[in-house]
Amino acid sequence: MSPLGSGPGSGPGQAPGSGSGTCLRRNDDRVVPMSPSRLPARPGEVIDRERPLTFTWNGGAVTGFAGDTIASALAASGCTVFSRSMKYHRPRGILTADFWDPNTLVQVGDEPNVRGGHRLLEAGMAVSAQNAWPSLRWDAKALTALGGRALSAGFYYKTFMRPRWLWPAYEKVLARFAPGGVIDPASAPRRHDKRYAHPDVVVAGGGPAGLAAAVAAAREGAGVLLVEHEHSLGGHLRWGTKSERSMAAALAGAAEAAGVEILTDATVAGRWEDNWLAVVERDGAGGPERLIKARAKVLVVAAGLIERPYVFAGNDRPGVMLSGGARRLLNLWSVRPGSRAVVWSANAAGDAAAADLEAAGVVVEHVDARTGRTVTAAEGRRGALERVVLSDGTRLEVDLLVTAAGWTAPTSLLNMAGVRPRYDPAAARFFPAEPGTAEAGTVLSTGGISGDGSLDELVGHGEATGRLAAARAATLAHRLRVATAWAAPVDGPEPPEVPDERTPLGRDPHPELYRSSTDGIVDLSEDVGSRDLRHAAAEGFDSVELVKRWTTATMGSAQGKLETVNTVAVLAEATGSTISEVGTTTWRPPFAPVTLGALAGRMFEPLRISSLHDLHVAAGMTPIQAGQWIRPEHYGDPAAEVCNVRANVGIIDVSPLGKLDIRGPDATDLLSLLYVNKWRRLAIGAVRYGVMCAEDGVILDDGVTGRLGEEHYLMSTTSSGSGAMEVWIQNWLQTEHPDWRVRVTPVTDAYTSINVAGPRSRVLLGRLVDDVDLGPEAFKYMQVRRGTVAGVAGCVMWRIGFTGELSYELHVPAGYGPHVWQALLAAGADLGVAPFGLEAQRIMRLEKGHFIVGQDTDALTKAPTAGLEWLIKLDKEDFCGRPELQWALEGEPGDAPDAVPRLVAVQPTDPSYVPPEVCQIVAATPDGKERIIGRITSSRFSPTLERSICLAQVEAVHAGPDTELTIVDITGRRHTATVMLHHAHFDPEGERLRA
Amino acid sequence: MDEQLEFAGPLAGAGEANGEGWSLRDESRTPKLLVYEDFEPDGAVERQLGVGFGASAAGGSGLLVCGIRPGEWLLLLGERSGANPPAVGAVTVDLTHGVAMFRLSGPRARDVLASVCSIDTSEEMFPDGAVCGASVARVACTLVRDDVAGERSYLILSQRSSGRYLFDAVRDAGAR
Amino acid sequence: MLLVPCPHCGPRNTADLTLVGESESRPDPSATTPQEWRSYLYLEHNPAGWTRETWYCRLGCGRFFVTERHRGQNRFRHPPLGPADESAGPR
Repeated sequence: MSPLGSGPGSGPGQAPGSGSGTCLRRNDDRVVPMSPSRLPARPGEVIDRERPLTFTWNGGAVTGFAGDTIASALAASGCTVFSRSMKYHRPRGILTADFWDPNTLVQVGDEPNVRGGHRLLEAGMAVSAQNAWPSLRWDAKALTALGGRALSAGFYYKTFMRPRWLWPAYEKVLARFAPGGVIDPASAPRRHDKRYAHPDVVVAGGGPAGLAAAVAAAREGAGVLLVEHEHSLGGHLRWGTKSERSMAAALAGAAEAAGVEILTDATVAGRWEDNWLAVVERDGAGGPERLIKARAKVLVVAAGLIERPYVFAGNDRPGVMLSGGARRLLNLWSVRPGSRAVVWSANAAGDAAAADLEAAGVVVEHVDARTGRTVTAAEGRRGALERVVLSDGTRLEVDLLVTAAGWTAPTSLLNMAGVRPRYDPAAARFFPAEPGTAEAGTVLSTGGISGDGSLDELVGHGEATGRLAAARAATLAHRLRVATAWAAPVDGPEPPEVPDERTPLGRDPHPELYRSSTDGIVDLSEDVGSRDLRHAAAEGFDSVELVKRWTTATMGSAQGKLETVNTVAVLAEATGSTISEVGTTTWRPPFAPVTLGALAGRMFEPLRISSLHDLHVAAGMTPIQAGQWIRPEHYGDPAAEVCNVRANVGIIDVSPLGKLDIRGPDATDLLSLLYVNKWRRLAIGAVRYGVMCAEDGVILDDGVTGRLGEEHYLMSTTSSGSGAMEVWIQNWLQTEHPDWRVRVTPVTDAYTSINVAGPRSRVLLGRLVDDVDLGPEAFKYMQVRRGTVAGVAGCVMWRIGFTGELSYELHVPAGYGPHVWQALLAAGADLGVAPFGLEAQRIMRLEKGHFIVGQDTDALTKAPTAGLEWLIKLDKEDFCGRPELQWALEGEPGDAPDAVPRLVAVQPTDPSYVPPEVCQIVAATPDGKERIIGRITSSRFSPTLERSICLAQVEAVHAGPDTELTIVDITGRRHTATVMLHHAHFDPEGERLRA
Repeated sequence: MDEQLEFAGPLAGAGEANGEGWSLRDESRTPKLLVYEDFEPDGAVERQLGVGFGASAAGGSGLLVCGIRPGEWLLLLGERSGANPPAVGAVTVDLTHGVAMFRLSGPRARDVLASVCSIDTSEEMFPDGAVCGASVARVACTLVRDDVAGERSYLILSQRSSGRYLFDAVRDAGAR
Repeated sequence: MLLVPCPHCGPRNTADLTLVGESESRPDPSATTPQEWRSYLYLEHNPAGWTRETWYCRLGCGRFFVTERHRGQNRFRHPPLGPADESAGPR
């Protein structure tokens, strides 16, 4: 395959033969002639020649210097092809040599899609090319270029659509062709930390104008956060003249001295209402990205300008470079990008590139685009540039073509603030339509994004912007302090609003240069050509938003920074309209791609535990998470736990049960409002079961409430509903009855709640309670007492029975919960006391036919469905859900009472069959088919009855006792079952719990 | 609180964690009383307690009165005995057992908090004595700035059952 | 994220609060009709303009309050960090 064969000393893992500057590659990549391009030391370079760093590129060792990016180090070693393009797998080289370079995405170790033009070099990095197989030089997928039309605009949507049954096969093919790196599932997880910040002023962009704005704002006393995309401050001054570089250093020094918080290698990724900003801090060393959620009072956008490529035949060929890319390579990293160059320039930056290259010994043909001469083709072979063809027919044999076709203003952050970009044909770029007026003046722009000028003018505009930002931030800070309850008091009046009296920046004339007379690539990330865009327009996709989605232009790694305006221009040309008429696509967050980990941040998943948690762990609980709570599901054998409760006595931790302390003269009014039943005649010392409904009559929650005193109740809610019920009750009190004299305090966590259940529970409790008469006549079922348990005063005990056994629910001050729990276990050892878990309780409540809100009821279950007609009292004052419940009970015209679901107890004919919960219940229809008439809501095997038991919701017409039902399981098998007379499968008369 | 009984706090192990420039301490034993405004509000309770919503004031003998919500105060009675709550308000509820309380102190305490809480804790916006409700590591908390002898210090109060998670989350935030 | 002007706390992140919905008075439950009641329960006006909303300051003061927001522009009538918009009329 390789004409040169493999020579000695060039295999992977071997030491590089010729040291620094030599690029050795594996397989056939090694045939590329390596011409070290690093120049001798130059003023302004950012590399440290005393610190060589060796890394690998596709397995071969390469050496660069500290301060290099991956791309600059590879370029210095003579590497010209960095990647293969996404669809056509064409060879690609350096275009911009910065963050936005679409052609230098590489894999670094286990990290895919690293921006080689931006990521700083580190010793030992294992860098490899992406999207090339088997190698960069010989890429099998480049064959797709032959059948290129198959990959034309909209190919995703057209080619692989039909027949649908072939989709799995298409998917496999497409996956192999998908661009991007490789994710290693074995990679160690990274922690992406987040933090919050509240700066007065955030400046996005650390070029001359941004720096000047930051310094001026800080000198006015504002707290300033300056966010710079690149690794160091200065913007375009960094690769400029000596005086420009010293200006950058002076501004950066001033920013530090003024106390500006400076973040480099960081991006303001998005801007939302009231200047809520996502700032992503990268780590030059490839560490995990971190997100800062910043609430800025004023945002200054100083994002500068991004150079725009020119569209012509072969414009994506390695050796074709933007003027900024050439200057950065040359002036920052002392890499000579070619030996013979055409510099085609329409502006001063291009002219400077020509001068810089000439000074570095490059033979330069300077073609002035302002005279109308354009480039029509870049030609060559095997990923190398050999010839440039100009519009006048001139052919120039060169290995480098530098274009300077104009600028794109990255107005994204302004657009996110509602500022529309507006095209100015005279300047050949978009400008913010209303600079400085967004959001009551809290978003300002300065620098190249706003206009052109000399360095002094840019700095002057930046300073004026910084002062304006500081003044406005001061006004907002004053308002914020006045309005915030806990802020320090403010002295003096509000600072007056400051008008925007900045002298606007001018606009330099610039020729409109978008596409040559030939076709080329418009979006280099997504491999979309000008021909594709014209094709899309011809197919009727004449809006830029549609073209974007149909062709994927502007949707790649550069996110439109390089290609949006060219896309618009080509579309305008194709549709015979102007760029202004076409407009741009909508810029959305993020400004620059962000790792998902940075957005996810560190996961905060709050968990709640009761005071008995450590005892449960020690007892060998199998935990289950219920909402946020970690609870014991069981301690080994839930069936045995059930039997022990039925035979002896068990204790269960029910601390998550919602508990609300209700006090005040109008407490009873509140209960009457919340519950569907009556509360006026509840005696002190009694508890009552109640059901709460929402205003649509749907069951919201249930529980018992005990009257502790004349104006004092303790309410319990379901565990899962406790948080929502607190809010529900506060809503009623605050918005409907603010005059009621009642205070509701959540005390769920103040008590450890322990249910002592079983025929021996009274005996057990009697051993620990002295001050309450537990006798069956003195402390009856559905009564509440306050007393001392195991020496702990202030306990609330109510005698209720969710399990169906004689049982006492103890609410113990939480700090003493473990003491009481251990005392119960110790005192009841001879009675067979043992802890039981949630599963045993669920079995026992199902044996008793008690429904669970949210399990046996759903968001449509009105109270009558659950058989609660007896509880609903229409002969009392207003209560939540009353109108709907009244209509449900009394009927409305058009009602179909037979179809209303009813909650019933069901027993399968086969006692060993436990139907899965939520499996369907069907009935035959007259036409011989089947219809769903309900579902199983709860099912368990009852160890007490030694058979399967269920609760189910079925249509009323099928809900009568002894009705035979057909249950369909998930496999389609049918099982018969019978509707029972009572909800309770066990002890329907309740004799045990009243014992 | 009954001194004869062992009070179980929200944590399992050591009630303290330390890092560079910060410390975190469990003070959940502190007696805590919730006091409500009178049913016919006339400002008497606020006058007697000395602070309104958003502020706190030391009341002597280790008592700290915190205005946690409009018309609601949480009285922290300090671990030293002797502090007696003023008998005020329509309703008083003892929340000693229901509320976990941690003290985050030190020159870096503000940075630790900034990674788990969105509240602006600058000197102007959250001065010593400030009280607010806020999410800390996604747990609803009351945050009190309660500097000790000139050192920056925050009390973080949450429902007791979230306490162990919250302590761990703040400790981990400090360990970064 | 929008700042919500809580009348007790001051401006707070939206995530600290819960939007309860449009503020509407509850029909008299003893005199209402199914149509009126269900319109109250289920129908929102949701104008692309000013609307009165109830918010619940969940993580802050725990108070329910009513404020006015322009649902088209997603801003409050009294923006927490800006001057009051006196020009806008009621919906």
